[in-house]
Amino acid sequence: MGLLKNKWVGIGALAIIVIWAISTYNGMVTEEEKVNKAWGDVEAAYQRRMDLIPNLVNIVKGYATHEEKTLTEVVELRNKATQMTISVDSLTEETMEQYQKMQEQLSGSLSRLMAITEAYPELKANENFLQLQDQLEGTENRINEVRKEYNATVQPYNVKVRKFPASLLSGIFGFSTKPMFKAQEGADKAVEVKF
Amino acid sequence: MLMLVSLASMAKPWTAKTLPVPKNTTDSTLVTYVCNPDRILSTAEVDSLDQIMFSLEKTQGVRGLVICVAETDPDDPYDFCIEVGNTYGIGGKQNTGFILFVSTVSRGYYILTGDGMEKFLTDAQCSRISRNEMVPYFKEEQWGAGLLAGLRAVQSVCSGETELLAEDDEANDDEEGGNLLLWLGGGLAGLIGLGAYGARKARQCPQCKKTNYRKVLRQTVLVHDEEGALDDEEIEEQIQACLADLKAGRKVETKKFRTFNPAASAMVEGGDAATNQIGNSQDEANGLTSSDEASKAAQDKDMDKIMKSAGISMHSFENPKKHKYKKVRVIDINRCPDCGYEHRAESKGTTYDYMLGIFTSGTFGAVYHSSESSSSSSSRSHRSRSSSRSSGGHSWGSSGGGHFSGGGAGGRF
Repeated sequence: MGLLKNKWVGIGALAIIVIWAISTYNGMVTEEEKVNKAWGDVEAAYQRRMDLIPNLVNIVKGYATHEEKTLTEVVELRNKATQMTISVDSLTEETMEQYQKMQEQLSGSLSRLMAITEAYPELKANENFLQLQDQLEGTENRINEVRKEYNATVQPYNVKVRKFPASLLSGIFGFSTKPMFKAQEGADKAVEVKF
Repeated sequence: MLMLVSLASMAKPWTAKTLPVPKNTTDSTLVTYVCNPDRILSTAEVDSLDQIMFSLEKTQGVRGLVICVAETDPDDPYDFCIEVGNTYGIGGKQNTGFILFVSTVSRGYYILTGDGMEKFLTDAQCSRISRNEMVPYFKEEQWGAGLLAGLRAVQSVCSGETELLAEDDEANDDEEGGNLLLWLGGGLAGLIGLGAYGARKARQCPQCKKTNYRKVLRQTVLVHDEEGALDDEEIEEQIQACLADLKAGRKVETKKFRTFNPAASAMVEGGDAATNQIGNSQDEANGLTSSDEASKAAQDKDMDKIMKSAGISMHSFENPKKHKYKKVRVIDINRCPDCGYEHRAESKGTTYDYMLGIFTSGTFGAVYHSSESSSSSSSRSHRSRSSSRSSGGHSWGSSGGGHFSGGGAGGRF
């Protein structure tokens, strides 16, 4: 074959590096898209809860006439939460913390509301209310599942982005590690029965 | 009464893993959609449930599961159902699955819908059905009746939906194949590059570095014939004669010295008569009379004997000195047309030449017959257990089956 000049060895090495870079980059893109989809599902689940709240508030209002404070609190928090949406690109530890905190506040307010309804037997017998209650529970379940799945997609993505040779690329192309959902402080279920 | 109570409490709590979920079967007499390990439901009840489930699958493509057990672990009906649903992939790839669940001792109930069912059987509907249709019966401990009522309600909801028998999920193409292709392509490009580089290098003239250097002649020259060694002048004469032929465009005689195996020379087409004569003269001395004999002998498997008698060996092609009568050398003449640089190199012959020698001698010809490839009987491939809707067997979707994300409603009664 003849003697290999440094020029050709260098070109060969460069070609290998380029191919590696392409395949690593593609791998990161694939994982990131999975994370994006999972985040979309998370936001959809939270949105579902927020859509249920106005109906709930209306029904409770009809029966629990002196519970203005709790009702307005729920409505306000719900509106604030609706306005806070994070796009996937701006998902960082801080924005995630803010988002989670917001939703937790809403959960807390909702459980206070549901606790109140315990004192109104007629409300508890109302078919619409019962359905809403079940729907709310279903939504909470969905939120939990979707958060688990989001975390499950973020973990391999973070590993891919942080591993050694790949981490050089992620700096260049702007792949940052994504935050995960942390366990909520306090009880698991949002709906508590308190007397 | 006491006996019944103690029997019920003796039943162990089922986990998602231990729950005996009915298996795939295509035998329509064995198909069941009911999981009744504690034997709480009677056979008649199970049959009625199965009938409705079966018709749901056939008409709407909805694959459900009915579970009636005493206790579960985890105790919460939702947690248990979702574990079961996702472990066994109830509902298949289309995610049109649901689970009707009641635990008699824990007093929990749930209707859990798969991802694809949520649109048709909403949470609100599940809530209504479970509370209004099922719970009244459960409170009276009429498990079968309750499940049946609930199932009928589900069926009526589903039969209103015509979209259910819907689209199949598109298969996700695997991205991994792309990576492999990339590496193979790169490797191939690399090899081609190397090849091109090597070729270019070979054509580079050592003197003027231009790339027109090439071999102009590969010539076998006789350096020692039967009369004695040729001196340098005579060798040079041969080379010049060949070069002159080349220049004048005449065909260069190369076959003259190509083979010096007298027996084989008869097999080489157009073997030079002079060569044969030279060979024959010695053959006669050794007892081999004509070229016919020689060819017969050549076809004889025991070539070595003949060759030994002719005084040559297989290796003499490589090492001309061993040959008694003729010694040859193969000379490559390389010339650069730009600067006139010329270089002669002694070529030991190429692999091809060696192989040619082997083939023409006939000795190893037999070796190169391709052995008959015996067709080995291919092992019977196992027929994978396939789930088919048409045959009436239901499938939970073995791998990558149904998925549950938390739809439905239920609670405790």
